[in-house]
Amino acid sequence: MSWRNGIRERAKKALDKPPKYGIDVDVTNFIPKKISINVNLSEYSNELSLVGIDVSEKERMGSFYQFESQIIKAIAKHPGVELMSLEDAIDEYGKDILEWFWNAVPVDQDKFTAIAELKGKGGYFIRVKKGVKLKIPIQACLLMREHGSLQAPHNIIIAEEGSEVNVITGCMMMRETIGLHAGVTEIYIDRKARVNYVMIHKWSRAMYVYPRTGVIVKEGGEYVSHYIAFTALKALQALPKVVLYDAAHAYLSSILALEGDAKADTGYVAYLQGNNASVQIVSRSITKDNAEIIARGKIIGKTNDVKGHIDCQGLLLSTKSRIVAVPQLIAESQDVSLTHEAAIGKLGEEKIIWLMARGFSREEAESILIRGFMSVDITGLPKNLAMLLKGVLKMIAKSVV
Amino acid sequence: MHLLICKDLKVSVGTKIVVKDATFYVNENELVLLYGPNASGKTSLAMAILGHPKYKIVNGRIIFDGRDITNMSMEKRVKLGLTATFQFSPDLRGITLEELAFEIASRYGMSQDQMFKLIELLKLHELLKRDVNVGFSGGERKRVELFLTALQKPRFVIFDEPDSGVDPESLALIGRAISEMVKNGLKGGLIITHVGYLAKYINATRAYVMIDGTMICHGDADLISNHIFRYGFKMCIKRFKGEIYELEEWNKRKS
Ligand SMILES: Nc1ncnc2c1ncn2[C@@H]1O[C@H](COP(=O)(O)OP(=O)(O)OP(=O)(O)O)[C@@H](O)[C@H]1O
Ligand SMILES: [Mg+2]
Repeated sequence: MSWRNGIRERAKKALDKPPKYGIDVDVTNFIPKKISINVNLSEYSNELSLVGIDVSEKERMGSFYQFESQIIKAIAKHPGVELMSLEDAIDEYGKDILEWFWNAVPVDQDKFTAIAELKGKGGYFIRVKKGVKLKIPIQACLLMREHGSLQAPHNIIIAEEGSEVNVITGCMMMRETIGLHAGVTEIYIDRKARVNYVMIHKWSRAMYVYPRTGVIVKEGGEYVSHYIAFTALKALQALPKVVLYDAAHAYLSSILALEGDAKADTGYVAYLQGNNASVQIVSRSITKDNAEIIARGKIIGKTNDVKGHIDCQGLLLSTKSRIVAVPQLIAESQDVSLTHEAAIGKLGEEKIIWLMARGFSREEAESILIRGFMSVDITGLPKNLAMLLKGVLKMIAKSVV
Repeated sequence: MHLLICKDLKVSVGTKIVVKDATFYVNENELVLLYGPNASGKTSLAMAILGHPKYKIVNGRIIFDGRDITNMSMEKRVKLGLTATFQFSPDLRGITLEELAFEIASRYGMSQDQMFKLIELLKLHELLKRDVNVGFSGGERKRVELFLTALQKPRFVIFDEPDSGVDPESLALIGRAISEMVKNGLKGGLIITHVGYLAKYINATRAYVMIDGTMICHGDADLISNHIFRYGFKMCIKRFKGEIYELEEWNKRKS
């Protein structure tokens, strides 16, 4: 595959390049692993439902399972969509894959993109054909459980003109052990197409998580992204970049509920590249124990009549945790309307008392308030995906108090 | 039979004594009014009876249903069926009224039919899909407060100004909701009010007047109401200063 040599060369040069934000990690400590156990997915159905994965696959248009570096399954249930592993896609498309390969995310962005290209295995390739609208979601499940493992899949989603696809990605570390997850996701949304993307992460105390995501939304396209991470982890850093052309729109939310000694630095960067493009960046950060979250949001308005808003809220559930809100607005044209709001606080005692007067215990009252705090706009999602998201958030609100 | 008795109650918030001396009772199947000027300590009294941890009982006793609940936690009191509607209810962003109502109703075994009846009665349809109290008008908040409390099928409720800022039509709705609560098991209530308008729609038997943290008089609801509307609290203070006064007796003695 000579066409890939140039890409690999660029990657090699970036192997020592630290991430722009978050703590640096020695990536050489981690290598891709095979699973050391026999996998019977149905045994994990309860755990997997925590990250939105339904092993019965009843209400799913397709399923992709990757355990460590092995692909267990990649099946789509609709002729209008291709779903396969990246390796299979490269086999099938050959050089033509370059149209969607390392264009939305630069391969030499930092050591994490570099290692994904050089050592990474797997990842899914989803291509939805022109005009095909799939309201029922496709699910992708990425699991880890081995000590010292590197999981660096490269995912690609292509929504052709006028199409629609809903994708749930659930990622999980199944044991309390050290690992590095550095998944790359590139999403290409063509004219008037729509992608709703829900990503749910549940890691463990010793996990390093450095996903790299780039999204390109062409004229009139729509992108909705909900990123959810909960429980503990060691370090998380992610800053998906979304480029929006004429009249394209994006709603980008991150909901983090972190505990233990978790350190997270997350958010989105949106480039309003075309006229009438618009974006909303929403973050809801909850910290417990010693957790720390830096919630970023950055909008760059480059052309006429673009609109952008950042809504950044933090909720501290312990005295030792820390939240930093960093909204940033950059106007490079006169005709932009960019705004932001940010607020950080704790649970309102009077609200808790009022809910207790309505018959709830203190814990239940807190969980209701946390659920309210986490709620984001889900009106853009089809009903089953919206319900799924609500269910996951409800479960998190219960478990976090 | 006394359902609730408060004897020599003294309540503090922080370092401040907010209720100095409150003695009163509510009988079973009785709705009693509590009057008093602003800042006289009515809400503080309500919160102390509810068991709000900020309101500390420094002296006196609270007996509910024959049980001394003076040192009982708020959670336990609410479990016994004692609760309060709040004068100022909070906004709950991200939680719809419908969602919360279902949660309360299901935990108290309130049937859907009973719930829909209350929704109908309090004309709440339009509010169900909205976040609780967010952007609600003053009157809407009062109706919602009554509604959610009714879903708990409480035995005893302290209604903290359910009629303040409520238009006459909504007032009738609130009155009917209280009657509905009685049907669903409400055995007694203390209604804090400035105006007593609600008295038209419910059958209040007696009334108390609290001034400057002290219960200063007590008597027939109509008599006290008329007295306050005619003379204001000033006369009340002047005439009944220093003791809890049985208005009826005073009237009898006068005639
Ligand atoms: N949490 C608190 N912290 C400090 N002061 C308080 C607190 N709660 C009540 N107070 C004070 O206690 C006094 C009585 O207040 P309370 O709310 O009980 O009055 P009220 O009779 O209900 O008045 P209103 O008719 O205006 O509702 C007031 O001076 C008030 O400022
Ligand atoms: Mg008051």
